[in-house]
Amino acid sequence: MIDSTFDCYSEIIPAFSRFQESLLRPMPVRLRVNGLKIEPELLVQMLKEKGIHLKRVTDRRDEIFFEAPDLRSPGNLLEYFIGYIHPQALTSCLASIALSPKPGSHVLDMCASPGGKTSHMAQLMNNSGLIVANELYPNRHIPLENTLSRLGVLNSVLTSYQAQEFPLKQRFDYILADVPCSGEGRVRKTRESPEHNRGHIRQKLLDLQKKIIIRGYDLLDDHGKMVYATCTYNPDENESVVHFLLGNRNAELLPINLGFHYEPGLTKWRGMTYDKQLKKAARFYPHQIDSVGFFMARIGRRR
Amino acid sequence: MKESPHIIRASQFKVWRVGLRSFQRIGSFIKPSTRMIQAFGHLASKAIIDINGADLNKLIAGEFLPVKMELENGYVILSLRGVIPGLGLLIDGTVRTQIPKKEVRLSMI
Repeated sequence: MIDSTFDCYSEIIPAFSRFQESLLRPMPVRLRVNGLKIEPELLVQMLKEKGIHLKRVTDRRDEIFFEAPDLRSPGNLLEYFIGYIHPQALTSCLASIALSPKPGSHVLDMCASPGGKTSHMAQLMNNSGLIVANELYPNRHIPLENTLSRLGVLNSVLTSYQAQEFPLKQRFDYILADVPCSGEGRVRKTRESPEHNRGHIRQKLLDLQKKIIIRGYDLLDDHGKMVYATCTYNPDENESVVHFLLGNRNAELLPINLGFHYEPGLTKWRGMTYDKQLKKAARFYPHQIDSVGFFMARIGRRR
Repeated sequence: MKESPHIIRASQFKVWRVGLRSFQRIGSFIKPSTRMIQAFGHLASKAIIDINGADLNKLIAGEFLPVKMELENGYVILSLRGVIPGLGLLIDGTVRTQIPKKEVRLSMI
């Protein structure tokens, strides 16, 4: 049954009825092949011999993303235990690709657990350079540590600062701010109610997100790039936060070119007007990309 | 290694874990970690035991596997058609698994 949780977004989400229908369909199982440990072609062959056929998600980026239509629990595969594969939502992978840290660079992942994006960045960096993977909450340290060690990530150090107070001791070439959010985009995946209904949590979240984006920007090198990301549709947690940054720092939004369909960021929402640059942000919807709902903005310093 | 610019930069932070844990001390022995062996075991040139799926099933079920190779007692690398799931411990011609049981299941093989 389609519920009315997201009716408030009917004006901003295109083909809204298709969007709602998509929430009732199960998430496809998608895998990222861990190039740090195995060549994708070899992995495809190994699984084929087990009767598991992998399908490319797209012709672009086909080197790592696969869909496994006849696989229900990838976590039960030996290849998972050995770290050859990592089940990951496509949109989650796209955040690391939008940032695309170069090998040898200095990277900060401000809210790193459970480590899917951190390990993907290590893969893009070919295990070189340095990733500071920060995660405040001790109960999220174990999944983070498990993911990174299972996938053979060597170039990371783990810290546990509050993201919004991460020490301003040095600047980074790349920063991923995949911030805590209401998680509306994950409703299809988790079947749980998003946290946005709880008012007191919401205001705290909005404040936190603004503080994190500002701190992330302040930690960015002059030529650095930052990606601000959430898995929610709520403009208050997305465009509004980025708009806050643009109003308080000399930041600029950079274009996002991923080869996957997305809608541009909003410039208006419920009487609020956002900076025109927000059109460069990306909104991913499950009925368009068959994945978790996601928002991202690519940010640099204005020169 | 301590002179590496990345290590110097990382040392400015309060860090609770660095890289991949490679070894741990068990009594008077130094044991390589499963994750390190999974990542680097393919580079080893000795102390490797080739097993098949049935062998791995037995090991994970807690059975010992007889080994005919001339090897010293100690940790050995288990290789399943070139894939390294982890370590075994060879004692007097039989090997038992050192793969963490809570992480690997019979259904995986």
